[in-house]
Amino acid sequence: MKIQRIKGILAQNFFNIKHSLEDVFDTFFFPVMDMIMFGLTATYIAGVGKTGGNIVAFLLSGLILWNIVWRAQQDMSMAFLRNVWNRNILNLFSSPLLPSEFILGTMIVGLIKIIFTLAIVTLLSSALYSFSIFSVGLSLVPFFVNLILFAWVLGIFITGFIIRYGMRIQSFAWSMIALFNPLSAVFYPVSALPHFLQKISWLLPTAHIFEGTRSVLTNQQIPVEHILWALGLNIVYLFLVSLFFNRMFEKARENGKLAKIET
Amino acid sequence: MEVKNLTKIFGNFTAVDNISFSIEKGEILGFLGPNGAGKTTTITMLLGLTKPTKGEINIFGLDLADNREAVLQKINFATAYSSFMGRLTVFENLYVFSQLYGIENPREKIRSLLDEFEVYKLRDSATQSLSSGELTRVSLCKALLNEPRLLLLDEPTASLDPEIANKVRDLLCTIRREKNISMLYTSHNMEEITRMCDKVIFLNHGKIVAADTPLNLTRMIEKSHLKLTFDAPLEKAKNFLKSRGLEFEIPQPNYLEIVLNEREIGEVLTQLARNGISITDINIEKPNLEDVFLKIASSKKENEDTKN
Repeated sequence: MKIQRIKGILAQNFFNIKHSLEDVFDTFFFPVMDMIMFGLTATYIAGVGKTGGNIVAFLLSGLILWNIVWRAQQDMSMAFLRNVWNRNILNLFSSPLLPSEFILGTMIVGLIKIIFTLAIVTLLSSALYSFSIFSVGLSLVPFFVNLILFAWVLGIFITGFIIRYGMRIQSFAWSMIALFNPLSAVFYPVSALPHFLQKISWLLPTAHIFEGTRSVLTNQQIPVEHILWALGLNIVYLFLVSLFFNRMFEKARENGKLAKIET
Repeated sequence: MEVKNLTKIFGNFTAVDNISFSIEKGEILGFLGPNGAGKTTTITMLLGLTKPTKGEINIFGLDLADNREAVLQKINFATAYSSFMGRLTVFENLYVFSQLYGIENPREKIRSLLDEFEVYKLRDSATQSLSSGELTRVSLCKALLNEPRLLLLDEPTASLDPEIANKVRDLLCTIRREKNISMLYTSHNMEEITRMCDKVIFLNHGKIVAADTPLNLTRMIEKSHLKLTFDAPLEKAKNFLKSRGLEFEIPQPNYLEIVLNEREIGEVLTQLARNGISITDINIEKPNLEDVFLKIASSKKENEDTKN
């Protein structure tokens, strides 16, 4: 693995952001709009149902943290798709660039973008609804790390799928994440899910993180058990998804899909 | 580069069938063949983008299967069918590739290549705004960033107008002369291959059907086409040609095409004049690579029909 080649992928992504207004929109506009809409909804529900301020905190923390998973996963898959749409994949992979260097480069770009998104959304939620995600305290760091790790797991998984099966499944890049939202129990406790889905839900690191967030907001206790479960699952999934990605890349080289992905 | 018994099978379809060839230092090897002959599949295998079903690829003494990264550092690739990130400027795209190839002083290198290919003025233009000719030249700049010792060119002049295609061919010939780079060059254009290549390989249905210098290949066909415009009664010309037992065609009155050996041309022209058939225009078409290819393809088909 060579640092200069990873810098090449970073440069490509930053040049692209510089020239793409919609990329700036994706980074800031939609998360901000979501935050405003959910904030207003939560404030209204809190007023009507007399459920107190927690509903605002639950919904906004869920939304802000879910944005980390959503944006970071999508950034990774879209970085690959943009190269296919621009017919640049053959140029990229006929260079000494390793697939792992490409993936690492897109992970770093995603991380930087999500830090900016998080900063803007946090500032706005503090100003508009007097809610700061930092109210979850020190737990925010392991929450953030685990959510980013799971976003990368999904990003690598989806990119591997697209490499193997081609552009006919490109919509997975922006749609597959929707499968994980209800199972991650972003806006409600895992216990709200049907019993059989609860078992699946606990296999997702995100379910542990969102459950943990609610526990901090309710009891002010650091949910060590949830954090460890999330981290353990993420480590296992990262290992498995790396094997999966390598297998998909090799399979695409075997069946000629990699060379023909632009056509 | 040495390729031995290279084979690629996709399901029931054999795209490349047990081919072997080599390229020496500074040599240009042409790959000719119709669509689906296996040219592009071979190139993608040489780049490590497609995994061979069987066979060995050795480049600079390294086995590509085990040394993909090291080999790709020393070779490069350009094709008319690939592009760059459209919104990025020419400089930005080349800068990205300079990083991927680990180039020192990338700005200087990019500047000198853009100058060499007369596209420096496009440095800050969005790549998506370039014409095909400009894009081909930028693609060649990318292909020379790492000073490759072997260049793989997949139909680099496809979709270019004749003037620009000619300019690109001139540039490639200059690069080869000045830098002694080996090249593998695929094209549909037989004339282009004749002009550019030291050696030619004809591929058909994934197999090598002929391999030699362009000159030796055209020598496989002895017959030339003699095209004449004449001033004489049609019957008189016909009777003369029949009496000589020549193969001929008269597509228009006062215009005829004779198929004959090159060494017979002088005598036939003299005899035509002696028989009162005055010639007003002469055109001699020597066999070219297209004729060779058609001959090979038709003889192969005959052999297969006989077997069946």
